[in-house]
Amino acid sequence: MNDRAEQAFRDAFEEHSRVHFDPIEPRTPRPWGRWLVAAAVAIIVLVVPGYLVLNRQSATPAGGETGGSGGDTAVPADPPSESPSQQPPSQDPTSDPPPATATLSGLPAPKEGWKWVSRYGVAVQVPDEWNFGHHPKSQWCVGASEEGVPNLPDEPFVVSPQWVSTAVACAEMDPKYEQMHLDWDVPRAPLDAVTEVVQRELGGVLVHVVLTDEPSDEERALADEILSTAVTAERDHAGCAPTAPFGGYGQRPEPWDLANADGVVEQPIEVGLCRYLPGWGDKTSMLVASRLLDAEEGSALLTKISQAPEGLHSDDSCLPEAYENDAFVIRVLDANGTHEVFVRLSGCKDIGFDDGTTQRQLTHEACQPLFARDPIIFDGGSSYAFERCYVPR
Amino acid sequence: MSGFGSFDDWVRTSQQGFLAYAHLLCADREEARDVVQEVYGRMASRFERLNTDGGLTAYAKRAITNEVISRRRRRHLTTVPLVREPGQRAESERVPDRVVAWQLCQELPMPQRAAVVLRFFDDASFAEIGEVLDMPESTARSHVHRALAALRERLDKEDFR
Repeated sequence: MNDRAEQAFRDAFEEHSRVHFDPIEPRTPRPWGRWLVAAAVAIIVLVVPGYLVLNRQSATPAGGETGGSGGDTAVPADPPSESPSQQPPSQDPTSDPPPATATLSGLPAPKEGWKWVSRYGVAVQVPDEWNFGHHPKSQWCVGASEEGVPNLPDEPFVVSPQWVSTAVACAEMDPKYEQMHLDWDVPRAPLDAVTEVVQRELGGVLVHVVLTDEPSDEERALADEILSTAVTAERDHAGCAPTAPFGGYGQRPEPWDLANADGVVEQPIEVGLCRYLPGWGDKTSMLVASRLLDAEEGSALLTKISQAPEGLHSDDSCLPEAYENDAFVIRVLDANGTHEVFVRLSGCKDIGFDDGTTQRQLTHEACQPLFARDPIIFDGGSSYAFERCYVPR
Repeated sequence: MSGFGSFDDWVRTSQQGFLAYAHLLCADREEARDVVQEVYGRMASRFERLNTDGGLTAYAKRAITNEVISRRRRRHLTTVPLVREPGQRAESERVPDRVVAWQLCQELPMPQRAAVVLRFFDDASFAEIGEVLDMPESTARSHVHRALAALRERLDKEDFR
């Protein structure tokens, strides 16, 4: 018998098991025998010559160059961590070189003809032809035509991160104008919709597809199929984590240098753009939009950033603590591994780019590409950032 | 001889199931990943023997359960997970059964919780649960039945709320 309580447990576990994790890389067992052989070799290589040197009372200082980095059979799968001063300056000490097929994405490849979109840590697949678009929600009358037709996309779409709302009260929208769309929201009942909604709660987020006024069976099936793909993910398709890796002032990424001494950037394999805004009811910044750049676009962006003047901007007219958690992160995958550039766009200080080694100012050339395409829009920042980053749509 | 050719093969093919199991026990993605990584690390040196003897999966699940329990014991204060789940539940007209079940599950003592997860996520028999959790079959059965009884009581309360 499968009673209500059993089914409730099954449903709960099914829901909470839909978590996608980054793969764990196996660490091949290392038999003690190999370690003992390696240790014996190390003793012979290091101690015996040292003993001989001491006996000869040589002037060579102990602990000098030994060239003893060989013996690779004893090197663990994870090399021992080195202090930052021992690291080559261009290499992230936390990341191993990526395999040839490396990608920033923490998600499996989408179905044929589908793509991933994500917000608030929940990723969903939609058909390739679905684009991002703005839904005015209850303020549909703002920007509506004279005939009262709301300004909605003509085709099914994914709702862009919410724009600033105006304090305007509209009458309820005529359901016949509703367009099929995907959105994310706080779990609540009922949702702010005038037509049928198919929804799924996952990881504390309500993912939902709003249908048209008279949905067909195909539309309903498509909505079900879209929601069946929803997963919570440690990293989305652009390599973005659900929550911002930095918040308050003064926090810097792992040291890395996006350009060498000649200002040339390492050719990236992929570049991910991650936009975070403070979440619901607390100061944690949540991922609201992300975009993956290919090698060419990513290289152009990094080159522009590397050419920006050094130094960060401070804003004397800021509201203290008001925008501390407003965050943008550029994730870079190159031949040396994964690196991050923190970008602060608002707040009182630290406004600019920071790769952990060099802090650079915002420039039109370096900042506008961040907001050049959906779903990432310039949705707030200091006037200094607005002048340099805003891209009219 | 078990079907896993190498430790690497086993890690690659088994990890999604173990991560899901660990996540259902600790309800924290970061901790689940740490737990599974830890267990893999400890089992690496014993892989050949366990793979030959069989029972690799059951051994790993027992190790995961024990590791989660051990971590709970080490905690004296509530810790805040690195990755926080977004959102806050708003007032709702009716709480879905699965939400009530998940809330209850997190209140259960870990061995009982593990038994319930194995029963309703893995569809394990009581004998299999007993083997994984190193407890008599009758204890496994009792754990599951008590959890079901507690959940039925809560669901009834929800119905009349």
